[in-house]
Amino acid sequence: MDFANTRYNRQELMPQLGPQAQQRLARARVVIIGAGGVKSPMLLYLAAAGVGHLTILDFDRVELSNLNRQILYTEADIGRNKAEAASERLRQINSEITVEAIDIRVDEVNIDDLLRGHEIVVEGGESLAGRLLCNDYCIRTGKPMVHASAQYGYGYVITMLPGETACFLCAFPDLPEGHGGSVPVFGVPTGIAGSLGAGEVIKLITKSGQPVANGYLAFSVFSGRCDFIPAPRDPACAACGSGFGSPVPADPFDQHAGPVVSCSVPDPAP
Amino acid sequence: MRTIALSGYPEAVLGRSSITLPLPCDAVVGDAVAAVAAQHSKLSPALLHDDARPRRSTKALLDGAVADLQTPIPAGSVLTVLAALPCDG
Repeated sequence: MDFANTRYNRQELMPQLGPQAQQRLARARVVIIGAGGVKSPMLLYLAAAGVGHLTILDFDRVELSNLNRQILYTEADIGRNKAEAASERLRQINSEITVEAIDIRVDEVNIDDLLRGHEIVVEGGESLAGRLLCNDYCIRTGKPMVHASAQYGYGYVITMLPGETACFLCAFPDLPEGHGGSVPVFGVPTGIAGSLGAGEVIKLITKSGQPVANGYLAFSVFSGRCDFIPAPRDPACAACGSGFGSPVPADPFDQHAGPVVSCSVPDPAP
Repeated sequence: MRTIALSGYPEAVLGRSSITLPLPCDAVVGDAVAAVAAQHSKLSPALLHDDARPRRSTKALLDGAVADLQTPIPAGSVLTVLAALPCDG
């Protein structure tokens, strides 16, 4: 393949991706919970890379104080629902993909309906309870989950392959309650976390590379550190430990597309 | 006196990448975590449970490798205390 002025040419020239991976990206359906600081760059890169269907779930409205880091939005978007504003912006970047916006808060009642039909879940939420709800859903349904977060000048990225690698609760087993909501932060760490998170999603879809799993990447802008912190699966984990067997696809889309597993992890036996 | 490197939430909240603490020569990693929390009380909820036990989410790196709380801190080693506090800012 030669250089050409087509949308995906530069990534199709990469040995890790190529035309076949591009087709996988085009067929992929990814759901993203939240469209704030970390999800802004993540969504931009996923849309630009050609992920075929993005569903954005967010009940929040754009505020002036978001604009230092939530680079999906402009001053004209203040007051608009984030999912709606984000989807409009992403369609401007890539009209070849489908972007679905839903103005809603994910909870234990609606999570199954909202996340069904997607092969990868990008976790999010303004509270620890919300993150654990999403973690539980992904374990229960066998869907890979990507977590990317940032505050102040640091952030974390971890991917969970249910039944195979550590889940969010294995990695962060006893976080303090009540942390969330408005936190000090600027755009660089959210940009790094979102970009790394987009990389995780793309690796999962294209079955390229290795996910950040059984541990998490912890980076700090100010100290210039980036550490992989090992966090293996905990057999006693309250979420994925006791009584948890191999994930069974309960989702028609999963049965159609097959499980999404990194190339570093063997495919499950049929 | 020992210099303790900080990562993640402790570094962010204090606005500095290291602190210096009085630690005995035979101190173990858990002593250092407790000393950080004692010197900077606003870090305590992130590092420790209410009963002063270190959280399992609190990690310590000795020369870049994860160390458990009972590990002695060799002279000349670099100890980093990391309090994991994921939050989507």
